[in-house]
Amino acid sequence: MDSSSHIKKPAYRRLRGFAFDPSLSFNADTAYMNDIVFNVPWEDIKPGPSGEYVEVVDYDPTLERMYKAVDLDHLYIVAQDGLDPSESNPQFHQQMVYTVAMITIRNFEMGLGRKINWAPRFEEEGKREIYVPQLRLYPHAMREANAYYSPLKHAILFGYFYSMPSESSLQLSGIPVFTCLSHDIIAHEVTHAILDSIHKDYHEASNPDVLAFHEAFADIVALFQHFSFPEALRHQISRTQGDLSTQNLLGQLAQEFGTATGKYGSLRDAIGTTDPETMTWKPNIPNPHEYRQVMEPHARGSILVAAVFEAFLTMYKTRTADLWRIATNGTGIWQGELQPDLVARLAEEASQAAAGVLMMCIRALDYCPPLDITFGDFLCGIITADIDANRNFNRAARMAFISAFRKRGIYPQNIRSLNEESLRYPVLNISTNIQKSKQTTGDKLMRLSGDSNMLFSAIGQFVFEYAHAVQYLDNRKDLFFVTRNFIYGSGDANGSYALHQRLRGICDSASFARITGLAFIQGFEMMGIHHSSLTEGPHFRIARLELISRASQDAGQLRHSATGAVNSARDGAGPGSYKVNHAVISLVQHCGVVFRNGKFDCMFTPDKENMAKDTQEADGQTERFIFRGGCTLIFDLDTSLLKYAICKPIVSEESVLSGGRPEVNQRRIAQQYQYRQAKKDNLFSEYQAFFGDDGEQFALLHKD
Amino acid sequence: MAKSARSKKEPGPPRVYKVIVRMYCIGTGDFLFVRFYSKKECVFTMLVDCGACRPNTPRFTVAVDSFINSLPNNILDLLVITHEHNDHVNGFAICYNLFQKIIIREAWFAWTEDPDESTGAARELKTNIGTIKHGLHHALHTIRERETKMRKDKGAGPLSAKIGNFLMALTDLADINLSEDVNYNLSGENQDRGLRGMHQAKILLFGRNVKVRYLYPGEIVTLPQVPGVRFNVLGPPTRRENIFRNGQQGVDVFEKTFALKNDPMLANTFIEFNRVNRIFDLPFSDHYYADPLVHNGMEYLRYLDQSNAWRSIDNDWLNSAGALALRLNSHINNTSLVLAIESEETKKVLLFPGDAEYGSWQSWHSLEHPTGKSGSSRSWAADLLNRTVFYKVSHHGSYNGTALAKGISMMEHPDLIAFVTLDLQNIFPGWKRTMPSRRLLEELNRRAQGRVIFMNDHDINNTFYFRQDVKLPGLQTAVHNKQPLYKEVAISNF
Repeated sequence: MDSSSHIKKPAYRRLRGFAFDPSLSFNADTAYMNDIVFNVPWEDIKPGPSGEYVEVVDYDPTLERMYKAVDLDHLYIVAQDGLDPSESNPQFHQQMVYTVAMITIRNFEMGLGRKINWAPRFEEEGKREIYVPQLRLYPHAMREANAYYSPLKHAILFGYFYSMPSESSLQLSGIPVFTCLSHDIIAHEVTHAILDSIHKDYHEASNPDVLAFHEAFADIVALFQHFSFPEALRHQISRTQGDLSTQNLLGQLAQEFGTATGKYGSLRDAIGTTDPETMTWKPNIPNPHEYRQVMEPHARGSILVAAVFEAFLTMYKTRTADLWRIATNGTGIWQGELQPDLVARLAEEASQAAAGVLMMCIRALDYCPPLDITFGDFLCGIITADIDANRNFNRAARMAFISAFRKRGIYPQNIRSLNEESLRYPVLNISTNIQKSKQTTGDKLMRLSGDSNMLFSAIGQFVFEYAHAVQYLDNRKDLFFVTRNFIYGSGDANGSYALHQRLRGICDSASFARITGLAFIQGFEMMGIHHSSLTEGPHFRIARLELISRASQDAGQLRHSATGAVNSARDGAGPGSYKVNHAVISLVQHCGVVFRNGKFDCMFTPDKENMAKDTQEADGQTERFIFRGGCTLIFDLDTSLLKYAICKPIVSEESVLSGGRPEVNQRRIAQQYQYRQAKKDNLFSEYQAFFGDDGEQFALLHKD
Repeated sequence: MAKSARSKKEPGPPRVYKVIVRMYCIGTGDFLFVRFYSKKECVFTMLVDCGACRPNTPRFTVAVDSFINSLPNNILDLLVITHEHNDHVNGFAICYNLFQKIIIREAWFAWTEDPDESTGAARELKTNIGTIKHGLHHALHTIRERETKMRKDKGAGPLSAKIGNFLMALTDLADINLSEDVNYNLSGENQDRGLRGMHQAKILLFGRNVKVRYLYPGEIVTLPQVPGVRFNVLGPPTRRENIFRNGQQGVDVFEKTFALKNDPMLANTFIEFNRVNRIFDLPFSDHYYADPLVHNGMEYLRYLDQSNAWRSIDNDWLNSAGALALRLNSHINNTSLVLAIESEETKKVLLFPGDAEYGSWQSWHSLEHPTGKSGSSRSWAADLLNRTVFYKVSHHGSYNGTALAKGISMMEHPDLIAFVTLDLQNIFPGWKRTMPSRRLLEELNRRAQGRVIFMNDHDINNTFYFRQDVKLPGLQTAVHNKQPLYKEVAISNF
């Protein structure tokens, strides 16, 4: 080997790009802060760019031609921090999508404390899962003002179009606009893909919040990444006099796209709106009616985005109150432009607050039900995850979330009061290892019958072994296959060990049914749930098996570094921080429901071959649809306890408690039926009304 | 064209009329026959459009026969053609021979149809619409080709079924919008002569001594046959922004409408797609394109690798053709001639908006009353809407055909009657999801107190259970072969 063999690989690859989108580089005021250098984790890379997580394939089907692929390892390109930001060079477009995709993935991995694997592919419905190592990014996939993540192709398709501004003073008309050059659009779509890899059942719109949650989460990630661009942050703080609740670029998404498609400014704005008549911006006032009335996923998602953004603003104000007092001699009134030192300190605080909010949101994903999520569930997830991670610290941040959600009428059903304790999911503390639990916890344990103790011990043993097997796995492919084997068995004699085999032995456990809300109980056939193909037990699906192993940091110790990725200021456990060692299992069951003349009629057992589809109504009076229930079980590996069971029950709680014949959960069925009816009256997209659902639900605009 | 000449006012007091509005039931589409009676004598006849989607020739013939037999002395005083969509004009082609038998005195079109329009706006609009039509035609061609190939290569499957459904919906929209006669030459220029029905209708008029007028919003036309009746022209808008205008859901329209922005790139892409040498629409300089033969074809190999065929994107972009078709459809709807026929004496108004969508409705409200005296603090259009007693529901009762705050909410007359030219048994399947809009119907039903008349009640009463029984004593229904031939209502004291 040559002498360079002892030189370490660099930690980052420096790549230039737009902090927002090309439109801001045309404005003298914003140009300098828009052209920035991103620090992308270094990886071996092929032309494309094609790395471990993503491959950029620049095929333009409208021309049936390929663009030359950029080689980011080319000496000249490495030497000048990537290609020059340019709209007219498609190779820069490839660099830009790669860069922002990697920054977004990195932020998720920091928050989740584990590597991301894309959702597996099914060659056919119900058949074996196939590993998908790379997400595909197509920067020039269509000629339309749109971009979307396609779950079927495991790809993101970016469109380009000619701008069509409302007024020519806002933007030149007829210039090409590339969605693949917008940080916000790339981050938004990559987040859809990541969310899909964690919760693949969030495709299914079983209530008005599900798709809206997908959209909101994608917007939240894009928004809070803005705060990791130091130049942009300082510029905006200086321009707003430090008041981020006034109009600013940080709280807005996709300026160029918004203007080019005829809006008066950005595509979406977390804090205000521009009145098209007067052309003035005014802040939005939280309105609880909106959550009841707005149903279109993007518009409804904006309510959640606004709530999260307000939580951030509260935290930012709290953190900077002392700085303002010091800087203004206690008057709170600053005259003239802000002093650069103060701007830098405010930016630091904003960056940390933003990183904290983003981390809280990302971590909450592990504490959400596997399907049918509502904004209220997400709030509970945020609170639960944060209490587990930070215990008594960070209470102010949690209060900021609760208050911002409350103002918009977002809270879970059946809740008595809106405080931290009632929003945290109930702590079950069910022992999965009696001897160990008694030693490690002083908490009172839930009492179960002898059989159930055996059952939970077996599951506890399983998660323990799983944790050991994957704890130090660094390779995403190994992680995927080891996890698959733990779920389904490797096909050899040890298969009986796998989780699926263990659980399908459960035909009748009232405790398990009560905890999970699932029909692991005699009489499940009458509820329209078919048999497992091998045993007497009910059919079910394991939606997730995952390890949460992360050193907790309270939000204040996280910061956005100048690299663009969120870094932790301090690794490992220290005073005031705790290590979270959890394992997650999500289970899902489904059955069929028949409604006649608007009333619940009976259950039916869906066809195994065609299980996911709703049946078409034959006579206009009868409607059949698939009803799903699911549960996320969270095990604490340190104390050997089942800590939480986050349920969307398929059985009714009362029927399981009474010990009689199991009944299907009528409350949830009625809600889903109601939602289905409302959907018929609400036309979300004219395109879909005419051309049907094309299976691509994560379009930036749903083609409108 | 100058403001239309107002005819000399007849001496004597204005007369009170009885108006009979008849809706022929020939399938979703407009075929409306309006007669004005003074005392017992029919003094004026008017036909608004003649067309249906999925036309059925025998049914059409029976209906047009009935219409002609109802004409006094075989004379039609006024023919109004609102806009160039097949569900409004194909009757003129299908029953051309029958229409040839009658005498037409006068015909009205929107200013957008005027070949000699002086500002060039009409021509620009036509060119624009022509480009989109041309693009849609090519898109259909490409998608059909691919669908056929896919079926041949892979047989019927869920994917080809999906494309088949898409193609069907697209074909339905094309049927309404695209000319039947023109064979677009794949490399040639756009030679669209328009829809056959429109073309034939014009043959009926030109060279036959029929007076043809092209009307502008804000004009008021009066006719000697019906003194005291004003034909107020509200649309189509002259500002192109209005033709492309989008309404806000819940305020302007019941449901969100489509982005009507005009993007020529998409239409041109479809037109260019089948050309051999494409040099005009490349987004980047030529040297950025990879050559499959140089570079070892590295880029191509990755994309064309068979094991990755499941994630190829060759066809996805063709979905844009759907957006193009919807945009075209809405553009043309917004070129509808809108007439508010008003009685000077009773102040009652009959509203015939064609298929006008939100952008058109909005533009009415910025019109000034031509004589400056509207006699009300409201805008002219608001005042007219306020006095409307008969409303031909725009766009067959769709979600975007009737404006909300600037439309239905202003219709306050206690005698309001609404006709919906909708027949759920004779309609493109894809259209049933947008027609009728349930919320619009609820509101109409409330304002008209149940006097909402559908071309065909099938699937209306059971789908929309809120609907009260129709309380309209004067409603007449003629039946032919056990199917409704027409429905008509008399508005006395107009």
